[in-house]
Amino acid sequence: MGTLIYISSFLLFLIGLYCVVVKDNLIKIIIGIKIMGYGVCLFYIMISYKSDAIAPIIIKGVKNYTDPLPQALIPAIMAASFAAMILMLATSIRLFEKHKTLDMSKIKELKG
Amino acid sequence: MFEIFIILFSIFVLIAAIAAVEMKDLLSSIMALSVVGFGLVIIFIFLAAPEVVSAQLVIEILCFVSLVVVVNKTSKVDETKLYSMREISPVSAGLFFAIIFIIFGLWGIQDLPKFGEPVMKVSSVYIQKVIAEIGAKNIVTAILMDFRAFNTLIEVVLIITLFVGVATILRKRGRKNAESD
Repeated sequence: MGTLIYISSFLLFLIGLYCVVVKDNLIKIIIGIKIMGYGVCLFYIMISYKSDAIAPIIIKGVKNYTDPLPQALIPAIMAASFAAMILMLATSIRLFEKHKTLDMSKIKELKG
Repeated sequence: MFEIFIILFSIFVLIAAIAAVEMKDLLSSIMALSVVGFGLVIIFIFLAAPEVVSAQLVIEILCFVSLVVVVNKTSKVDETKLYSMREISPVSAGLFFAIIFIIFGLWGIQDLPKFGEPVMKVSSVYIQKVIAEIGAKNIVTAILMDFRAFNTLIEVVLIITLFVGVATILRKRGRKNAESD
């Protein structure tokens, strides 16, 4: 099996990338960006897993823990993607109030 | 056996992600996105990451609630048409870059550490120091609050910036327009 299991996180990232590039609806674009963030998180957690080790909570006498450093980096990624998503949602509410649609192709035609 | 289990859950998550991308009804699409998030929570539990599980649960629920609120305020159905004639070039460019990404990904994946055997140069030092000097029960919390405390501080600044930005975007009228209206 080796390293091939990481492909699942790459595929998750690629589904999000496809959604961001192809879709026109703003909510769909935000969903695509969320899926890309999930792909990155899944990759970090997969790369931190150690077989025959326990979760990084200290028990006396045990010295075999999974890698705690990527797990400490993940909440930063999550907070940043959450903040970006909330800002995009606020902007899309404003755009809907002005143009009465969330379709990016129509909003591009209406500019000016 | 364990890897096959992880792969099955990953396929479940991938199917939910494709459903979230392709559904026309936006509310069902958001629910499929939540299926992706909670499926990832199950995978994280089996990959021994309890700290990430709690953070992912909280942020997933917040995302779901805010997306449902926004969809309720705006339109509920995705009415865009796929592939009008002038959009073929960006779509083909996207597919081209996706293929390049897959090729280079498969090339670079061979130099990664194998699944189940991480490189722990820094982390082993962290674990030894936590056991010997710091004495916290949870190693991840010790890294977040002690070794990387400045990183966590800047994250808090990020959240404050988030609130300021949302208040700036969503306020009803600007300061100058208030007098003329």
